[in-house]
Amino acid sequence: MMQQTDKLNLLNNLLAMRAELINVPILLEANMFFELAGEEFGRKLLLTSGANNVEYCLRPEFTLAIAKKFLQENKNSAAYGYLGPIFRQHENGPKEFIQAGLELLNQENQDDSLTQIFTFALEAIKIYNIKPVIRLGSVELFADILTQINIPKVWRPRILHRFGQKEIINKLLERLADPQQINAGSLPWKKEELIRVVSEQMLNGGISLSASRTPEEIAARYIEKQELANSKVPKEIVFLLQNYLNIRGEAQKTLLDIEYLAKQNNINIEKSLFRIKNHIEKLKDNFSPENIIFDAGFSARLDYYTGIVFQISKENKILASGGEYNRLLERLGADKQINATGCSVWVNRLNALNNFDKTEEFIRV
Amino acid sequence: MDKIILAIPSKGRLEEQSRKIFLEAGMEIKRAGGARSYSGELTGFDDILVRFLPAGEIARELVKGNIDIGITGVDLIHETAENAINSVVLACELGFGRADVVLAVPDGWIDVTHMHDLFDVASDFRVKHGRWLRIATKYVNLTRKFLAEHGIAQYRIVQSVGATEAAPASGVADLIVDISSTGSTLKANGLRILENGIILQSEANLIISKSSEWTPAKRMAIAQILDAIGIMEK
Repeated sequence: MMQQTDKLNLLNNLLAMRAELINVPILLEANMFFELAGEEFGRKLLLTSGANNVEYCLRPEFTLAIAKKFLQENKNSAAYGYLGPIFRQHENGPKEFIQAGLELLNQENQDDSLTQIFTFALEAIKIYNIKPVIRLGSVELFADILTQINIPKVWRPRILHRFGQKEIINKLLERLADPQQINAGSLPWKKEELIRVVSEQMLNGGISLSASRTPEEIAARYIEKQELANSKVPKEIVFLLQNYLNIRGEAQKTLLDIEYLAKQNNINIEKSLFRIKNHIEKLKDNFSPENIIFDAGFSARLDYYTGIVFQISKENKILASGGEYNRLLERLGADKQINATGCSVWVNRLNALNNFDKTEEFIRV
Repeated sequence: MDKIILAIPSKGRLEEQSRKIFLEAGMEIKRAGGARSYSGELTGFDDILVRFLPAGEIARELVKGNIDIGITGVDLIHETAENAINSVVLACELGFGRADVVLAVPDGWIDVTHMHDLFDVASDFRVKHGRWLRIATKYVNLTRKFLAEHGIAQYRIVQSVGATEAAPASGVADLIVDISSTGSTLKANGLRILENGIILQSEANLIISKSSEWTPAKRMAIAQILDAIGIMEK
């Protein structure tokens, strides 16, 4: 029987075939993760403070550092591969995992990139003789629907921000249908007057009128809130979104349901639907149809994902995940969206399924 | 046999009230070398060693298991680590040291009355200001948990050591999470608690460590004390 180190070598070969293998330092500045992903990801970091008063963390993943390197080196396009340990804080303390992955940046054709990513993930899992299930989602499909339905414009980015978090997006949708009524009390109704009142209150508390939210901004949102309170989003629209987000099942059938829903509501989703259908067609070479799931409400929780996203799992354990995240490089300072496609593979879980490592504790590379 | 270590807040009203609790149960806490001493004893219980420590340290040591039983605020237990509350048993609320951990925004934020308003503001903040919304607090764990419950992820915590309530005025943060017993400090700093912004209602508790070593003899001794105070052992 093949040893786990042999399998790691095979994984390494898979990466080397497709990409330049690169190394990312294990000790990284923590701030870049906080800046990109906020406090929620921050709580997963293993932090330490330097004598220089800078906060560092142990590498929690590879993608961000790789994307930064790409920008710093001013490359036009790149294919990077990685394999090594990552460190995360868990409920019962810190844990070390091994991740392997691929990042394809600014490639000519993103559909080809995604196909390559799928192929890599599947070949990686094949090394371990595992027959997994794939779950797909599409951020662009949801964005298409959101931009074509009749809701006040301010809600769109707020809804999109919460895409992928079912419970939280549902709470937001309930608010659309039944917005909070405002008790204006003694507040004036004219914008200039509101600005004056807000400015006074802030100055009384010694709070700067420009360092944080400005009186203008506060008054504007106050008025917006009043307007929203008076303009409920029609129930049908909220139902449509709720229905869409709950669609989940065998991909082929599910996409037909979505097509029907869109047609009924005069929404054009042709382009994004065509893409996902094509990829599903290709995935059939490796998965039986019942093992390809499309989940309309599924997305990674980070808001730089833009297109198709996926998770490959076995017995509810995620073995590989990734997708298209064209907003990442822009968020890191690029002057426009740049296509980026990638995935990471959880090597410990593959090993665990092979019974190499029942506890999922560490293995040395 | 091993002695049980009982920790009592080392000064102020918390110390007085803690002593009172034991005195009412017929047990007197004696501070051996006067008010400056760090150790004492509980009359009638030879197996008990009394330590006088700051309330925050009592919380940390209970979670670690270096002391067996102590009096401190529940908020302080939460703040030692994310899941610290699982390492202790809250044996009894004592009815003093009441304070709420609350989320408060500048009074001028007339459009923000509930957590869902903050959710909207946090969503839009980065686009408008080129930075994350900043929350000053020393209650890092409680804040993260509370905001996650309300689906708010787009913010940064600024750790504050003292005078958190001054952070919005000094421009260090946009809003705060802090302890408040009467609300007057917040008011004086032009801040207002959101209508559903109460994160934790805390008071002094008699708290037992799960992490310390509980020999049968120690268990018996602790049962006696709890019994005297009128608490059934859980």
